Amino acid sequence: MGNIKLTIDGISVEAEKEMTVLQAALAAGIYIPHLCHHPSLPDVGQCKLCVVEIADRDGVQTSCTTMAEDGMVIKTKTDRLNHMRTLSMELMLAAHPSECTSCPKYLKCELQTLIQYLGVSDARLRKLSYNFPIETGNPLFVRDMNRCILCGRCVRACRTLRGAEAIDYKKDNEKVYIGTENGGLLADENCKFCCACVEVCPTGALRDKEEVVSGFNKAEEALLPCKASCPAGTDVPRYVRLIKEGKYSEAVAVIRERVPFPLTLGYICMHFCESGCRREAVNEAVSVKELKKFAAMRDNGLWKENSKIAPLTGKKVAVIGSGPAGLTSAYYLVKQGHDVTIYEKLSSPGGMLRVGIPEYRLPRSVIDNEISEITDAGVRIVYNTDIKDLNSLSSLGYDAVLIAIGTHKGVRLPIPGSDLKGVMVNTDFLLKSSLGKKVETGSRVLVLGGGNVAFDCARVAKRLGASEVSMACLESRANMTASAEEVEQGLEEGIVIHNSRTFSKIISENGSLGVECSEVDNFYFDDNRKLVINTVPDSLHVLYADTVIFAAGQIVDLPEEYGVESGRANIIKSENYQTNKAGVFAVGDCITGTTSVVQAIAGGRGAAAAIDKYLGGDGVIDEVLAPCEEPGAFIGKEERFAHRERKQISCKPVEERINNFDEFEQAFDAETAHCEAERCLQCDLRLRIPKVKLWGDYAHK
Amino acid sequence: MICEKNAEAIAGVDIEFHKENNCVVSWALKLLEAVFAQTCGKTVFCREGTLQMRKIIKDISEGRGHSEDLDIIIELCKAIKEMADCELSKKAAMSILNSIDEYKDEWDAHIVRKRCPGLICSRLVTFHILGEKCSGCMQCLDKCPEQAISGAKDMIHVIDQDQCSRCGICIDICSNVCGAIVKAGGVKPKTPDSPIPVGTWQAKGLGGLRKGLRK
Repeated sequence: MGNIKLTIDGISVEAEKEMTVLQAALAAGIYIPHLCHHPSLPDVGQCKLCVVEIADRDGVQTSCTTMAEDGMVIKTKTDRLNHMRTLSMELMLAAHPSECTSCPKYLKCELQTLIQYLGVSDARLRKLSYNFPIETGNPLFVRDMNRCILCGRCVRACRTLRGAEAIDYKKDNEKVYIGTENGGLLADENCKFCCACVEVCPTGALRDKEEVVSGFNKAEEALLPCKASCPAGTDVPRYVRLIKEGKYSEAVAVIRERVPFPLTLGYICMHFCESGCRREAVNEAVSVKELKKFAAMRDNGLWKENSKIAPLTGKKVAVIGSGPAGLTSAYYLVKQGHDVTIYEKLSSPGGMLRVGIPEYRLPRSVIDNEISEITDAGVRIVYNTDIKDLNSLSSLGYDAVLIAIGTHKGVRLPIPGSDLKGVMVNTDFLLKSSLGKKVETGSRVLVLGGGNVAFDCARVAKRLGASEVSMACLESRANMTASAEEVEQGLEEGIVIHNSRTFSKIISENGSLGVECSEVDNFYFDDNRKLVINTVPDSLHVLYADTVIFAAGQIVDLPEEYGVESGRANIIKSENYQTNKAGVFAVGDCITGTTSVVQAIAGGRGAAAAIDKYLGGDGVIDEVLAPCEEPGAFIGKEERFAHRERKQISCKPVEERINNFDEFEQAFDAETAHCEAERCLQCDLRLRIPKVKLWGDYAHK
Repeated sequence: MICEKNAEAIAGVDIEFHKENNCVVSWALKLLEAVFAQTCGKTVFCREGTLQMRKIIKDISEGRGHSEDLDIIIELCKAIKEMADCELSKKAAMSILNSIDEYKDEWDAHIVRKRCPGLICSRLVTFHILGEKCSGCMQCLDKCPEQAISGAKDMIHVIDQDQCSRCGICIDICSNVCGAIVKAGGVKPKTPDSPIPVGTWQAKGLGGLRKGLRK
């Protein structure tokens, strides 16, 4: 460090040999105005703002393209230099809109800070305006060439830093501008939507679309919505990149830094990341869930090398329920050095993973393997033990109790006949069938509900042998709460869906059940959150079945003896996982209502941190499991990258899947996975571009 | 250095101004247009300096020059000479500086008096059909894109100055027929107000009244 010495404006400065004069000055806290210079880009000396005078050299030099030399004596602020800078700035401003306040970049604009610093206006010269149409037809960002000052940073970002070669200088008889090769939209001309150009633009010429980045708290969240949308905060772009590079175990280690169930999530995650994916705006989101599954199937356990368990603290924690929330909490608490026992009502672990999610969606071996990693870490699970009140635990000397009992009580609608023989609720039906208990359904099954759980019930019934399976729900086909995939696959399997129905009673006739329905014209929730349904006149009819299954939501099966405060649907009230009772925490669906596995896991992490703190720890459960790597900034050129379509998984034909519980979705093969991983826009690379420091940040201005 | 154009290679225009049958302002404009067309346009002085000068000189050639314009042109030329990365725009800047040195009167005529002494800058000249020469052949009238020429067969044609765009098409046509169309700067020739039969125009003997311009 500091192997040459130079004098800048009378200040003695140490610098490294490979530095330019500008870099040496900036590193020493001496500001030299500059605009086309950017720390991530090669210097070209175009804007002429960084001019300096060097003793014993003729003329003025651009400091960004002049190498620092030992003994150099440099002046950065003479009249001559100021004049040159002012004139350069005046020229740039002559072709830039005069009015700053109407610009979306107002007060966030680098050019504006320079105008301020140099005290320049566009008043002296002729105004040049070219009336470029503002380009809003590209996804993710807006291009407004009227505000461009042609510093060329975007071109260097696109061509030199990234190698994408989508944009370049263009020229006609009267103007220079930045554009695509053929003047077409970016998607059609090699753009890879890495948005490095937007990041380095010093003006309002390139800017993120408001609707894309609004609604986030931090810039990082807005620019990495996949990671921000993941309840557990998984570093999606990082592991997708590792998959692309064939580093599957490293990818799994990245996932495991946030969740202890990579493969489970690969099968059944609600993939909020994909809803956030910025590629969705380009064409289709990256198939993140399938990539996770692909990698997790190929994990060699690299993550274990860096996984640490803290020394024992002597504190004991009891967890009630071995669902994803309880297991996750238990896992991280054990890693913090606490002694953790899970009490499970059933004879096997997993909670909803095992008794809610049907086997054809999540093979039981996957659950068993991932839970065994948790028990291997030291979590004890006591089965067939229903904790009816908390006193029994405190007598065993637990320092903290975590309630993670989920929402295992199906809701029976309060209509006449809802308790007739042959009428079941979703949770009981799925639990019994999952545990291999015999469920007699008869040949006709009618599921009342239109969510994902309703589809689970219907499709399980189909696999159990019911020949006529139908569903009836309040919502229209387009507004069903189930995922589009479930609806499609359900229909493929021959499930009949009766949409827009409301149920008035269940009757028993000649040994079969009938659900009396009316057609729904519209429905809404009034100011008191009460459901109001308007039916179609004279539409009363009866749907017949041997078994009727209510799939109208689940509530918490909360023993009153726990003595914890609860609200609607028995949902336990908590603040940062702490219930109203000291030392009693709650997590998962029982504090949120039925959500998703990944939300339960995220909650599990939060509860573990909260309990660790309560027990005197620091509450820091974050860990580094994956080896460090520096992603390459040079992503290269690929024609029609933006048009690459999302890879679809293939499913077994219907006739091969409806008579068994085997998984029917085929995971990606290596080639497909690499192809899909390559579709990632690598939005995280943009965050590695350093923020530009402004003149106010320097000691010597 | 980004732009490595050769100064000898400015196509279509003399890099130095030659006075014969020429106008320094329109020469400078053409030079700058040629320079802009042939440079990469990446650095600020070369690009914006050239475009700014083009804008100013265009204004001057159309009678919209300001008194301070020449100083700005000189300032820009000096900056380009010192800072531009390519020889092409440096050379052009030096030539324009020389022309201002040598032909300051001509620049001033354009800027201050709004006149083009060489009658080249079309916005600063007017076109007139001399009554004594016009044969009433209709050729110019037929070709005028603005339909600014009135007249009929064997009637002396007259140009409506408000409609004339000074494109010069008529003058090219007439020069091969009867040479009746002329350009004028400050002093306008006398011509008929409206078409009159060929042979009846007496330019002289009207008591010095500039009949052609009377409106």
